[in-house]
Amino acid sequence: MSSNFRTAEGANKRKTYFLLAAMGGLTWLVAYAALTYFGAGTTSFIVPIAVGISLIGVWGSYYGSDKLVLKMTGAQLITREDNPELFNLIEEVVIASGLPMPKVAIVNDTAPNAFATGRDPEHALIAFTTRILEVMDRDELQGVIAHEMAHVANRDTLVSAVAATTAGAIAILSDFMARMMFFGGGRDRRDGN
Amino acid sequence: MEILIILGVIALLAVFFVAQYNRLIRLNISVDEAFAQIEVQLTRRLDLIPNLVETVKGYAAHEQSTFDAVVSARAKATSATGVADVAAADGMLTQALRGLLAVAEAYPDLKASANFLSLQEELSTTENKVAFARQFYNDNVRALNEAVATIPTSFFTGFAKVSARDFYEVEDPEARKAPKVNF
Repeated sequence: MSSNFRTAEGANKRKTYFLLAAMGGLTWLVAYAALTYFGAGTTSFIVPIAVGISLIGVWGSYYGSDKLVLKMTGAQLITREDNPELFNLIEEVVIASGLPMPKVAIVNDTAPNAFATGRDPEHALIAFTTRILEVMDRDELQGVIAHEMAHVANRDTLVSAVAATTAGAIAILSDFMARMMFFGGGRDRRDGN
Repeated sequence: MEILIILGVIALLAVFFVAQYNRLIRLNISVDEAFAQIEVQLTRRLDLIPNLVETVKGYAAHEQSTFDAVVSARAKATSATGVADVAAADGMLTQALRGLLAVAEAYPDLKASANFLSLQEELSTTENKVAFARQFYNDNVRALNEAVATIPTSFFTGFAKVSARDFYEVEDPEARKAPKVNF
């Protein structure tokens, strides 16, 4: 099939949900491994926790990614009145791509940059730093917007949010495990003595 | 046992038929939707023109022939129906507007006026939107025409009452000229 935006979007949607499930599975596996390591006695307690951790991780990154990114970067949502020219440009790309209109935010930053976030095209947000709006002309900004909208269409934003949350969850789990091995291991030796 | 196999085959065939039929209908609807988007943008442009002409007139009252060209192109565009007609009127209007903006170049006061600057921004974004809407429409038409011409969907075109659609082609003599290069 050739590359109509919509057919590409459908394929990416399936891949992303598969990835989402796989990430949940991976987190669960790590949590389960950590728990089994400490003996079967704790399994009934630890397995629900492991499942809980992976579910919260996946669910949180699915629903909260756009708000989280807004908080982290201090981006301010803007309306058409704040910057009609930027909105015009975004509307142009929206028409070209057949995607819904995203939310728009501005980040007060001296580095010229832009990013996209949000779990799906209906909840997309694209943000621009104040600097990129100063240094780029109309055509250059259009290219940047098209790039960010391609991230939205391909759901790269969801993938990276899920990947970041999974990595975080696994990091926390391995931290647990390291501490338990250290302290728990010591206790085992004392018990043996 | 045989009856089950036969029923299964019939069910599979039915699913296959429905899928092909729905695919054609969906593609056809998305072409309609894309054309509606072109018309929305063309209407937006038509709405901008009286304002733009008035603003330019305020500074360059004697450029009557340019104004007449824009006004008559606008009238044609307003009454156009069907893909080919709309496309032809759209091409004429694009040229007429280009003439109007070229006139504006010669009047520094006009070029500097806030009203003209905001109209110019509105006009250039609308030109871009029209162009992108066209591109999106043609993309959808290509998908539909491909489905109409290729097996297996081609078997269902009569049943779904869907046929190949026209591309939106703009006759713009400017676009075919080689760019001028100055050293």
